[in-house]
Amino acid sequence: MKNNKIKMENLLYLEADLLDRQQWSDWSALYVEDCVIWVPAWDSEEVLVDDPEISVNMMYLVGKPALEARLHRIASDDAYASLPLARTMHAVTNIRVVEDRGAEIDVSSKFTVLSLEPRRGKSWRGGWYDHTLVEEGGALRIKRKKITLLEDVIDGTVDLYQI
Amino acid sequence: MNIDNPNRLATEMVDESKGVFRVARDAYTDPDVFEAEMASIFEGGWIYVCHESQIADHGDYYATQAGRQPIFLIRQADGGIGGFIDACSHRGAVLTRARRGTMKTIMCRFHGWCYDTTGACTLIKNEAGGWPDGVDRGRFSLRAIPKVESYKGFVYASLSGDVPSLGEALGESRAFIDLMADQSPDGMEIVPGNQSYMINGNWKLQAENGVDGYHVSTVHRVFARAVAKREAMGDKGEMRKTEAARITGEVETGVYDLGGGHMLLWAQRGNPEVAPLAEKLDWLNATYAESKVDWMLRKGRNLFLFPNVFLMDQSSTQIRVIIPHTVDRTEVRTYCIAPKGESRKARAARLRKFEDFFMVTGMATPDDMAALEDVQRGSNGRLAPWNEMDRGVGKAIPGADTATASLGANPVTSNPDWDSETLFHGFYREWARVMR
Repeated sequence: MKNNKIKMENLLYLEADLLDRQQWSDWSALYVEDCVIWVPAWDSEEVLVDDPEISVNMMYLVGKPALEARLHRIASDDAYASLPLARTMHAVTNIRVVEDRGAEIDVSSKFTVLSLEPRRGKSWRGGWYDHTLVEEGGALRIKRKKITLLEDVIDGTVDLYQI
Repeated sequence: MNIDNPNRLATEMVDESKGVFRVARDAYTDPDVFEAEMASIFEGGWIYVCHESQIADHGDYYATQAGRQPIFLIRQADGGIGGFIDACSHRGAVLTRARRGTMKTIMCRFHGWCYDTTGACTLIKNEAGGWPDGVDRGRFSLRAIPKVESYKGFVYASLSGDVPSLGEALGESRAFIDLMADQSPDGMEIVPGNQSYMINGNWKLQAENGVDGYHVSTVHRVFARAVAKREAMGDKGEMRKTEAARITGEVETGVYDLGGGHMLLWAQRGNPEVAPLAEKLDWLNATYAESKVDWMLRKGRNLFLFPNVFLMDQSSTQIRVIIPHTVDRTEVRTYCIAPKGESRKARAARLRKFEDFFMVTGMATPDDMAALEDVQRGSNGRLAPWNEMDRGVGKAIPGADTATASLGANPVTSNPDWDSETLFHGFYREWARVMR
């Protein structure tokens, strides 16, 4: 793949912006059908799980239907924790190409999310993103996103759009 | 709060005098009640600490709170389990560096004093010359917790020595604990990865929520719809297929007051053939009575063991531990428990269902937490002081129903409808009894 840093950065910024603007279907369209979103759980204060198949994860969403189920719940106007929805601000920084394999490219970045929840007030969460991007139909798409959330004790609830 | 008897108010908070069963909302908001609970319940009797598999080998430890006091359990060289106040005998520093880990020698990181896993002080740094006549290390043993016992791998501790045996305290709930503990010839284990979360709510609200069948058809209907959407979109769930029949209310259900504050909620499983345990059906049938296999595999169960743990076995299997911090802040630690030696496919299915429902980053537990936190906020409305817990009171029968009689368990009351609140009567009567 042509290593176009501006295109990659734009995709990551666009993803963050679509989540903040709650444009769920536009956000989902950034992902390929056989996508994976993985948020590993901490096994202890120091150790993150490493095999998502046979470990407890905070989230392990395999394939578009798994994403759509989460979005359905968020947008349902019937999920207690999402009534009302939190207002969020995603900031993505330190974007860096880790490996370019031609057909796929691994990109790492850091994120912070300010989330204003009517029930709980302000939370400030942060962590690392590891994206694997592919070109599909002439556009850059997300094949895999690993979100390393630094919190091992979650104060409140965390949904897909809040990290 | 009554100055002469600080627990008096608490006992008046469970009121059956008006012909209805009601609980005062101050029970969730009064810091004095919380302090009395910590002394009487969490520091005065048995509390669940951890599963034996989490401290499998010599030196493995698990750290937590017993009420307001830091404690840890540790596997000893002879295979026994030691329990200690988590504080150095010298100047009181906590000895564990994480919630879980391994230390064959327990070394205080402050001044370097060392202990073995029996709690004996084995080394005092620069001991020579420290005391004019030498020092007796024997008087510096770690403070042992009076009682540590295990039932089928579930390890309990009591900061009071004046308690019945653990078996006696668990009473009728043992038949239901066995349904989880006996699922494999190789025993059960905690799967890697876990989640802890903080609730802005009183610990008793968490205790209620986990066996409250009545909220399921409102709070979790969105879960059923989200999962249905995933499957309609072509998600090849197979064994990962999540069970929703219990949410949409198409199945038989029941609730039991098991005595001692223990409670059970169950619902017939809509599609037990997709249960990860189903791969063990032949072994189960060859090993246990038909009624036990039926309960294990075909009845989803949430078992609450007074005062601080749930053993849940429905779409997935969970240990949920409640650790009260303050009157309106509660820590919950969740673990997936699974049969040792199950297939990778079954393990993966069990975990995906666990993440779907049981995680605070999933699609159901956040909604429970939001509801619970709203109850906490509403309970500050002092002019409306009572929670009523009487739904289904006419359906309760004393003793066992047919289903539980087949297991040989004898509840205080049985109720054939999980929308009933009669199981909470047992919880709050025990609460009031211990607080007296």
